[in-house]
Amino acid sequence: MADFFTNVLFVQLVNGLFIAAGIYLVASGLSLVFGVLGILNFAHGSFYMYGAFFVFTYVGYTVGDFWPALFIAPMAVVILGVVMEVVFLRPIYKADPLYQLLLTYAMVLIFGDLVKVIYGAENLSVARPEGFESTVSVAGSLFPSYQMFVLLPAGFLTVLGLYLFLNKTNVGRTVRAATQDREMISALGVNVRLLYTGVFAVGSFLGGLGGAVLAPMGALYPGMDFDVIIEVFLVVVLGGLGSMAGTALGALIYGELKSFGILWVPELESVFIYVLMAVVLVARPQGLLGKKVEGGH
Amino acid sequence: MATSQDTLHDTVGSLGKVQGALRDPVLWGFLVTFVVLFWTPELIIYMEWADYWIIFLTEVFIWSLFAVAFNLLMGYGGLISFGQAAYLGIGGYTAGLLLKYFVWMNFYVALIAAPIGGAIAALVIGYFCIRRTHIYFAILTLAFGHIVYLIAFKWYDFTGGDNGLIGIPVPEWIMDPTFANFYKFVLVICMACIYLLWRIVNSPFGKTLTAIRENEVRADFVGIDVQRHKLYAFMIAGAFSGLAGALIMINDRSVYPDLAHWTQSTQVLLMSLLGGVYTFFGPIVGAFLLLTMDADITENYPEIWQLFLGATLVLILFALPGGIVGFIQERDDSLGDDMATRMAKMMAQFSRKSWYFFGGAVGFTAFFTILQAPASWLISEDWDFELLSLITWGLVPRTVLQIVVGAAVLWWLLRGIRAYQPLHRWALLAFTILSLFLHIYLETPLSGLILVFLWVIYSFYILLQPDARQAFGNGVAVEAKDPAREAAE
Repeated sequence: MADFFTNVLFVQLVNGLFIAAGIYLVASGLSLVFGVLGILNFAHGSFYMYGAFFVFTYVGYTVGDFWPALFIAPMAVVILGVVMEVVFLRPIYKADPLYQLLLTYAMVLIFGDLVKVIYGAENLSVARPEGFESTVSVAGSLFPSYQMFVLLPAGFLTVLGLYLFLNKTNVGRTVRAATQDREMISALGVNVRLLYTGVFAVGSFLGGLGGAVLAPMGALYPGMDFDVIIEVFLVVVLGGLGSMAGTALGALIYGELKSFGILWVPELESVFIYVLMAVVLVARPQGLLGKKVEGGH
Repeated sequence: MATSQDTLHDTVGSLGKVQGALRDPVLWGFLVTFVVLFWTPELIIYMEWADYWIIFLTEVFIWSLFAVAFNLLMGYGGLISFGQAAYLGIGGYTAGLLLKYFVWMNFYVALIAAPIGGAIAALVIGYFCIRRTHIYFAILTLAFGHIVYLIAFKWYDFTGGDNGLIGIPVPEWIMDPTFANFYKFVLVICMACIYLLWRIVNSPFGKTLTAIRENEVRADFVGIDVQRHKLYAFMIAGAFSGLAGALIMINDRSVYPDLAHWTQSTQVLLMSLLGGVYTFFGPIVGAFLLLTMDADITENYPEIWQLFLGATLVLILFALPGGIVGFIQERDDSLGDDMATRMAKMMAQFSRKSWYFFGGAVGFTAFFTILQAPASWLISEDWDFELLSLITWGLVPRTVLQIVVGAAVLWWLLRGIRAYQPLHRWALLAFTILSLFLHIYLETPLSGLILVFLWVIYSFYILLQPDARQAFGNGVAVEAKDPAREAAE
């Protein structure tokens, strides 16, 4: 019996890691863009959706060739993201933040219906790549091998890659400096426009990558953008908007809570995270690892 | 607009308050509008499209109430709620569940329970949301709105899940074949509530809310309890949204989780922005306009409705940040100008805005006609010649004709207006009304029609102002300062 319990707990723990890795892939891009540009990109969920649908298109076109899609689909999303940034966001960086918010919201509506027009309203699915269809046994428990060998490493690599990029490279240091003081970085001769576009491109790549990696694990449908953006918002509110470490922590808590919540009270699994978020908001309004900014707002 | 409010809040006792309220021109405006709208069903009942209009107007009233309540948060409080539909849903479900599960439940008690339910939900959710402003507020309202939708969607035992609650009992008199009873019922409730909201935004509470929107830190410094005011505003908006939700429930005699879906929040957001966020009556105009567009689009292309909303939102943000009512009210002239300069600026602006309205109406009409009848671009199906008919002319020739003739006449009229020709003023008013009737006669899409309607109102609003009447009547302003007029031309 004790063995059974440790087994179940272990399975749920790892499942929680899967969920965390998936949501982190998407949330990291949103958090990065917010940290540097100060824009909350509602359309980030749309990037996720397009990442997934582009994988569908690519896999369908090449008849089952999955792996290149993991790079090509996010790159296609990057094109979308850069066009959106240059055409729509650039003219209103100086405007009221609420306008920027509304503009990205408008993009959600446009992107959402375009998917319906292009792909139709039915659910689509992407087959798992060859060799990853079945399960793998780890420490006596069975796990889907796609999650184990693709999703989890992708999540870890993104955490590691973003950490190294932001802390060890010159460009990364510039990006971090931009999160601290945009005026100063501009005065020091950094091309802020290019920096913004670059960061937005990285953000959309991460969103697209999240969609691409998660595509074989569930149905693709118009409306998945909205479902994911809510989850992402919960994660970043928990961890603190703009803080990369906070996003990782938030994703981890979100994943584990969801995984164990299903075990405990299946009907209320989505309510737990809201309760936790409410507690965090009362006790620490800026999020677990968020900086206290704008005079305590 | 709130000048009479100054007298209202003097310490003159209750009698003085009543007199102050009676002097309020807005109250009289409300009463006149109410009387006209109340007898509208009797006026149009013999026309073949009466049912359509009565049902449509009922919907407009309900959404107007919802949009005005929402705008209390967005326009007056500066708090954009992305999950306002949650309270619409809560109101609908509160009244619906009461009526469905308690046979003895009084209809009016259930109706009153809806705003109470909305307010309580707003109290709980608002307690967490108002702790952060701007971006966080947006995220939190969206997230909490979604959980309300999820609960309605998933809790089969209680809410019926995605099957919704159907067959909710309502009194017999609501279900009359002409729909006029329910129309009047909704009209009374919505106008009373909107007037109440008007009083609220013009009360000290409303002014405080605006002060918080303008500068929260400063409001805090002068001793205003910022959080409490925001929470109250959130609750008031929640209560009226809940009432609107209950009215929608009665209209449908059923509730579905879709009532709380985020797309409804989007619609109400668009209504406020379209009509004008910083005006009280803007959301009503926005509700009217958006619902007409909805009718025009969903007829043929329901799947691109969101796309259209998004495009509209982008367009408003870049081209019309004040919304339509804000656009009408916007004035170039400043208080320091003398009358001649003011008139010159006013007429220059009038002429510019008239062109915008003309262009907007033509553009809308063409756009929606293309959407509705894509096959009739150039040629017609039968050649029974009928002047102005779409069938005979096809869309492109008729639109070109409209633009050329309309633009020529308008150009000539506006030139006369800017020279203060009294005759041209009446001719222009006649021209706008004529275009309105032309649109009705040609049965063009509603959205273009509504724009022309707004244009008529705008023209009357500007050209019949006391200043304008004087200038056109005896030309005092013109004689006083010729150079200013020439500069404006």
